[in-house]
Amino acid sequence: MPRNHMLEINNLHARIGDATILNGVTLSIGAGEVHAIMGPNGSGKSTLAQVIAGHSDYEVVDGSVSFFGEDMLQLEPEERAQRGFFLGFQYPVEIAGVNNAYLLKAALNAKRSYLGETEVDAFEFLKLAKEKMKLLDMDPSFLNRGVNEGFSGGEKKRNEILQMAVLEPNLAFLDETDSGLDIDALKSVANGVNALRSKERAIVLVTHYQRLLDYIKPDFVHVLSNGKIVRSGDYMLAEELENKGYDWLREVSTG
Amino acid sequence: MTTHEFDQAVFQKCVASIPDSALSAVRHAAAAEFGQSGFPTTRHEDWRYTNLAPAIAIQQKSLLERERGDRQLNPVDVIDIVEACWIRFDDGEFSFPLNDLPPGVTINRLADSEQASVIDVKNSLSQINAALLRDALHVTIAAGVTIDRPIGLLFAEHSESPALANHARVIISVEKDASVQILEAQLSSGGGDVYINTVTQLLLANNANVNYVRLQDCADHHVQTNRLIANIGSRAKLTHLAFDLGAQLARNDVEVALNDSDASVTLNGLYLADGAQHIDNHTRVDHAAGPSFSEELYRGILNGKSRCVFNGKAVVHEGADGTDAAQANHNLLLSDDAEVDTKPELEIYADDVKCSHGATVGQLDANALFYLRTRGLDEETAKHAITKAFAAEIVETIAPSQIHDYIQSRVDAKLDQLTAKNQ
Ligand SMILES: Nc1ncnc2c1ncn2[C@@H]1O[C@H](COP(=O)(O)OP(=O)(O)O)[C@@H](O)[C@H]1O
Ligand SMILES: [Mg+2]
Repeated sequence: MPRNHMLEINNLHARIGDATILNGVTLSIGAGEVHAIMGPNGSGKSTLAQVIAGHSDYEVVDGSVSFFGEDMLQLEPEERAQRGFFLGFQYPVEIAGVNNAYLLKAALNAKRSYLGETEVDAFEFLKLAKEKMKLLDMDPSFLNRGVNEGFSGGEKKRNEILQMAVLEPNLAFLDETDSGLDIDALKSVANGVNALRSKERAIVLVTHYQRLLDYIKPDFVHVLSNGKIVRSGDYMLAEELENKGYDWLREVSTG
Repeated sequence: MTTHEFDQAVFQKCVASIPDSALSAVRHAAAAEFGQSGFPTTRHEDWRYTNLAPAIAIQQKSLLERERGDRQLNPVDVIDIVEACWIRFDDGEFSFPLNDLPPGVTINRLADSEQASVIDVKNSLSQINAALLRDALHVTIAAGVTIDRPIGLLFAEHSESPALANHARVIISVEKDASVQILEAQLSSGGGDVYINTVTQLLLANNANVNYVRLQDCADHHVQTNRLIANIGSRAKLTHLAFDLGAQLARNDVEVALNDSDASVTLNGLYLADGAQHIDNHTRVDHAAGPSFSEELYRGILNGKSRCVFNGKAVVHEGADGTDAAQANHNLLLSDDAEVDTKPELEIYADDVKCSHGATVGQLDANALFYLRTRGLDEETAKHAITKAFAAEIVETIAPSQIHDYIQSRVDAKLDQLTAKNQ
C-alpha cells in the first residue's frame, strides 16, 4: 500500500544565479513520519529547505513539489505557511524593531484566519505563548524583544522552535536547528519537537549529527550529496554515517 | 516655470489692497523686498532639487481670483483626538479660545499691537508671507510656568475654490524657566488647489523647554512650504519632531540658532512619500555660543516615483567651543523609481568640538521580508511591520500621550498606503 503522502518532492532541480544546486531530488514524506536529511556541507540541504519555503532567489528549473496534493511551487511563501508548512531556518533572520510577540500572534492569526477560525485575542495569545515558552525553558521576556534581535545562536534556535510550537504546523522542516546548541538547549529543542509529534504531523530534521537523533528518533534517514538523495535508509543509516562519514557515499554517487 | 511668470504687479496691488494696521510698515517693506527677490528658483543652491512652480501657479491664480467661494469647514479629526488648547487657522482665518487659555498663556494679535517688528522677513518665502498678512498671532508662555495642556496649532484648509494661497504667521515666546508642549497639525481637505505658506518663530528664553511636534498631512494635491525660525537661550532646550506624510510638494526649512551656552536642540523627522510626492527638508543649526548641543535624526520611506530631499547643516561658529553636533539621515526606498538626495553638512570654526554625521539610503531587507512571509504574514503585512519598525525610531521619540497615539495612527495609515500591493 502506498503511504498517504503529505509532501511529495519529485525530480526537483533548482538553481541560484548560474549555479545549479539541486539536481533531481525525489522524496516523499507521510503524516506521522520523522525524516532526517544528512549530508556534507554544501550538498544543498538548506537550498532544498528554502526552495520548499518559497524563496524567490531560487529558480526551480524542473520537477515538482506537492503539499497535501496542491502544487506548492505555485504558492506564495505565506500561503505555504498558512497551509501548515514551517521552516526552521539554519540562520534565523534578525529583524530590528519588529516585536517577537507581534510576529507570533500575527503568524498564528494568519493561519487561523486561513483555516476559517477566529483570531486569538491578546489575552489568549499570551497564555498560549507563555505555556509554550515554559516547555522550551524560555524566559517570557523574549516576547518583548525584536525578532531574533541580539539573540545568541542558541536563543535564535529556541526561538524558531517556539514559533513552531505556537503554530503547530503539519510539516516542520528544521534546518540544522541543533547546530551550535549546548546539551540543555538541545534537550529543550528536542522537547519542543517531540511535543509536536503526532499521527497527523510530519517532521524533517536536517542535521550533521547523530546527537539530535538520539533524542528524536527518525523513521527514515536520507543522505543528500551534490543536490541529490544518494541513499535512504532507517535509523541504522545514521549510525553508519556517524562511524564512516560521507566519503563512502560520495564514491557510490559518482561511480 | 520661472519667477518671470509670477506677476509682481498683481501681487503689489493685492498687498496695497489689504487694510492698514500696525503691520503695514512691515508688510510694505517685505513686499518691496519680495519684489526684488521673487520666489526662489532651482538656480539657488538651497533649492536645487525643489521647483516651486506648482506653488507659484496657485499663488498667481489666487491673487487674480480673490473672490473666495462659500466657505465650509470640514471636520478635522485631531481636534477630537488630542485634548489641547487649540488655536485654529481655517483657510487662513484664525480663532482661539480667548476665555479658556491655560494660566500663563497669552495670545496677542499683531495687527493691533506694537510688536510687528518681531516679524522675520529674512528670506523670500518669509517676505511674501509677511507682505500678505492681514494679521498674525503672538503666543506668550509666562516665565516659570509649566503648561500641562498642550498648545495646538491647527492649519486646516477646506477650500473648494479653484486656487487658494494662504500665508500664516505665528510667533511663540517662551519666557525663562517656562515649559510647554506644542502640537502643530497642518491638514487639508477639499477639492481646490491650495498653497499654504506658514512661518513660525520660536523664542526660547533662558532655561525654557519646548517640545514641538509637527504633523504635515495635507491632501495629496496641495502644496505647502513652512519655515521655523528658533532662537534658543542659555540652558534652554527645543525638541522638534517633524512628520511629513502628505502634500504634492512640501518644503520645510528649520533654522535654529543656539545663541548661548548650554542651549540645545533635538531635530527629529520622519517623511513618508509615495506616488509623485516631493518632500524637501532643509535644516540649519547655528551654534553661535559654546558649549551647545544639537542632535538630528531624520528618516524617510519612499515608494512610487516620489522624491525626497534632506539637507541638514550644522555650523559651529568661532567661540562655540565644546559643542556637540550630530546629524544622521536614513532612507528606505521601496521602489526603483523613488529618489532621495541627502546631504548632511558640517562647518566647524571652533575648538574641542564633537561632531558626527552620516546618511544612508537602502532597500527593504529581502531576508527579513521572506522570513516574515514564511511565518504566514502576507507581503503587505510583512512590509508594513518592517517599515513601521523603521519609522518607530522617530515615532517613539514622542513620549506616551494622545499626541503620540494620534501621530502613530496617521503614520500607520500612510504606511498602509505605502506598502499596499498596487504601489
Ligand atoms: N546565493 C548563492 N549563490 C551561489 N551559490 C550558492 C548560494 N547560496 C548557496 N550556494 C551554494 O549552494 C550549495 C549548497 O548550499 P546549501 O544549500 O547551503 O548547502 P548545505 O545546507 O547542504 O550546507 C553550496 O555549494 C553553496 O555554496
Ligand atoms: Mg545548510
